[in-house]
Amino acid sequence: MFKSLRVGFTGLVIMATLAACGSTGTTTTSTNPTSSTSGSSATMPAATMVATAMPAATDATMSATMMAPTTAATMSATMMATATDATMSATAMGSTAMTGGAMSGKLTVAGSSALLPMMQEAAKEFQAKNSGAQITVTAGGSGAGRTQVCSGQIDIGDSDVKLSSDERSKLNCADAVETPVAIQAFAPVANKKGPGSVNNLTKDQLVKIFNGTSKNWKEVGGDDQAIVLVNRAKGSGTRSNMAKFLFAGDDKQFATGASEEDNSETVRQTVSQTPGAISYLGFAYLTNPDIIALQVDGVKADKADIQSGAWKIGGPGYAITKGKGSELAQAFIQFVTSSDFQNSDAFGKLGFVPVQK
Amino acid sequence: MARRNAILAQSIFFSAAAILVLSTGALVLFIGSTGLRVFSFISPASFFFGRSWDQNTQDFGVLPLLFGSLATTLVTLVISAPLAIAVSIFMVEIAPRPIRRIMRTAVELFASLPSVIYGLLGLTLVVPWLRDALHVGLGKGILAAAVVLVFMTQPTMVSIAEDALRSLPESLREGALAVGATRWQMIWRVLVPAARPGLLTAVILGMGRAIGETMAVQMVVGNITSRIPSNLVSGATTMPAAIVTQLPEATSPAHRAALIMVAFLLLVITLILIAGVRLATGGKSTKASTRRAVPAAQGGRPAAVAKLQGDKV
Amino acid sequence: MSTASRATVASQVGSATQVAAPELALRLANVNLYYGSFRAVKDVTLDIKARAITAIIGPSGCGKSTLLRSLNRINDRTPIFRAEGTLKLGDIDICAPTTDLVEIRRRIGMVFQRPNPFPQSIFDNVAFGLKLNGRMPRQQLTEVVEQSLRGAALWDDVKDKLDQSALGLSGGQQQRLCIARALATRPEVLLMDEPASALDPISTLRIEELINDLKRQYTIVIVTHNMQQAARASDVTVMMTMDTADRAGNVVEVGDTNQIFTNPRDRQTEEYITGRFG
Repeated sequence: MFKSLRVGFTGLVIMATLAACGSTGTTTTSTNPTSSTSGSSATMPAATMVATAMPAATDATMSATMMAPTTAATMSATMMATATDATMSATAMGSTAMTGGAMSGKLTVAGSSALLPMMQEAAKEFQAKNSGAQITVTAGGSGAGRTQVCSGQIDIGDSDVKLSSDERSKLNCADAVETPVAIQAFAPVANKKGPGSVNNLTKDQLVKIFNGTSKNWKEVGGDDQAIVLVNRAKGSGTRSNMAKFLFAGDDKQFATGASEEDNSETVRQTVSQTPGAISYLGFAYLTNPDIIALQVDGVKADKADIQSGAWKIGGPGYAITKGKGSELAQAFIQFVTSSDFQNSDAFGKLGFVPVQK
Repeated sequence: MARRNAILAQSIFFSAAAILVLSTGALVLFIGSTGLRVFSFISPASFFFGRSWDQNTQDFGVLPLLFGSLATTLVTLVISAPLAIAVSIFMVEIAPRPIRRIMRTAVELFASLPSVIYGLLGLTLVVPWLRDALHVGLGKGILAAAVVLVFMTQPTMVSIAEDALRSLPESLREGALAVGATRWQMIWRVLVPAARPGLLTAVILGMGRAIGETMAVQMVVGNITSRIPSNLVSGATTMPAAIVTQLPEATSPAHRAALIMVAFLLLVITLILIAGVRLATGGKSTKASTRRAVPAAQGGRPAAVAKLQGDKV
Repeated sequence: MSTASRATVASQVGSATQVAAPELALRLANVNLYYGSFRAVKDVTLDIKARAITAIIGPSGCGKSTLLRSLNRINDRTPIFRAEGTLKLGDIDICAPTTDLVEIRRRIGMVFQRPNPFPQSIFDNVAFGLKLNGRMPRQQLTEVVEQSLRGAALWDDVKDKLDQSALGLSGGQQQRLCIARALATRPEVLLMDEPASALDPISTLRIEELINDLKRQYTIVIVTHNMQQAARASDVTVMMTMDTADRAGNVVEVGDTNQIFTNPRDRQTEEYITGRFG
């Protein structure tokens, strides 16, 4: 009965991973930051790892790739490539960098999948300047970033939103320092069928669509096509930002019964292939030709309007440390917020808008 | 020297077994105790009988998740079990060797595809197909998940069912044919009943795969946790999909504990399935399995033994 | 056996009982059997008498089983197997591609070297062949099963446990069950491929007695390694050997069992039955 044993064992491994993941908030472990691999696997959607039976490296970076606006066909290939990038560069770059910088040590960063590409780019550049530094960046979700930095498992947690006051007390994280590292903008997106000639919606129309009052595109001037709502999962930073704009942060006002997707790539896929679909995506996705990015109250989501504040959906993403953080963590955050990095091409290409100093 | 090696090998195997058993026990205890903390936040009744799971209202009723998992698994099995048995019969009894080899390669390929690929295929092919065929808004839901899972469960089920059929002795086939059975009569009236424990094992293990699959299901099921699904096409969730979607963002201790309790339920279900396999293969039904048939049929026992076993002389 | 039920069964399996010539059940002429390019049996011409026991003897590898297994074409399952020559059951050409295999096998039953009961109840094992051609009234089914089990001298052993698994029976009982299963469809010919070789001596003896009883109604062809068994149980003996040159099996002598065992004409037969070779 070798086979049944194996299957049983697989099931158990799922559980083990889950348990490790779940315990992160409730136990106060002082995980050595060097054990970045185990830390990162705990932050990942745990069951994914076993279910897909893929190497851990691939898993750890999967949601990152899912976030990136790659096309479906190239996804698996990109996934492998990214896997190598994410884990290899972090370690390899440190030792082979030619310029010997002042900072050294190890740093673990995890959290928001939206911020992941930017943090990875920053880590790469930082390590090139500081050969002794070794920075491991993984995703896992903003919630995981907040939870894990508060429990001391990682050095820096990335989050699309600030810690709530509830979290500050429950996670024993009153001394957390939140540094805005990039402005993320989000915009409503729709399938090409449905809006018709409509490319602009008022905030009021959007509220009615997302709370389920408007059920057909013709109610907002579009074609006679039922509206299909696609949401991000509750707790995602993207969704929180949308709720902040539409419902003054009250997530309960989102219509129930809309599908909830785990990542932006699935949202993009779903919206692009479903007639009448509407959802919201990050700035980096808006140029995607499969979908329509809608204007809100006559304003188009572009860099200038986002930076000036005319575009209302979005806000800063944060790097969170418990207390001020280690010297290396402070140096890294300082690098991320430096105008050199914020105004670099690489930063712009990733779809982020610099924070105002 | 040989003896020392034997002792060494024995102790290695023994420790390996002990580690496995101990870690299994520790795991059950750990997840159970962690998950049970949920009951310090909400009552067992509202967990087990609650009809909504919504972190906004801090309602953690497991029924939408449990129902989604059971319905998905059931729909999957209704399609995939007959399909897998038909495919394995074809491979063992009908297909010529080159075709059999091609099919086995295909099955192995299916088995080695990462589940994210299945999810992607489901998202780009199955979901739009169901949406257009059934005229539903989105096409995500239990049916879409089940269609994807049918393909994902085939490798497990086909390979085990194929083994079960292949291991039947040739003498059974000849015996059936010799009394005038056609090939189909031989297959349905002798081989399938004789391989029943193995076929049942195949179905149960396929069921385990279906109930535990996470990534691919999560991409096509819609992830709606706030209500018990009323149909197969308007969005639902399963236990693993809910865990993977929500755990990263579960910052409230009640939410996290509730998700771990769901994991514990999943563990319990897996254990029940494994027990089911044991029962299917190791219980009374083994007598009807061929493994027992072969030594009895091989005979060659001394007459005294035959006498003991009831040969009247 | 009541004549009524026999007639019904006969009508079910076609005109079986009338077709066979009274004297000769099977006729083989210039039969050559091949596995791929290897000729396993060559140039066999042989008439098999009805309602008698014909024993095929000879050393291992001389093609006895291959010859026997070609008579009901069960060897067709081996993909590279091929038969040439004439094999006739009455007027029916056994080897013709148009011949209905199912009918051939219902008229020529077979018992194998090792008992091969199905993992089903004793009753279902015997009734198996009867149920293949559609439904038969339960009462009639029960009758035929009983007759077949009586015919195989197993009825008294199993009459109280017909619904129990056949695999719970001893080896000897299992083999008699397989004989009952073969008898149930009322074949004209019964092929037996070393039917007692996997059994203990006492079970063997019972099988031999049973075979002797059966010859009144059936034509029996039995392959055996056991000289005493051939001598005791058969009417006609066919001696086969393997040609030293091309390793093909061939028939060297056919005759009354009595004559073969007391006064063999062929030197190889004599050496074989006296145990000097084989």
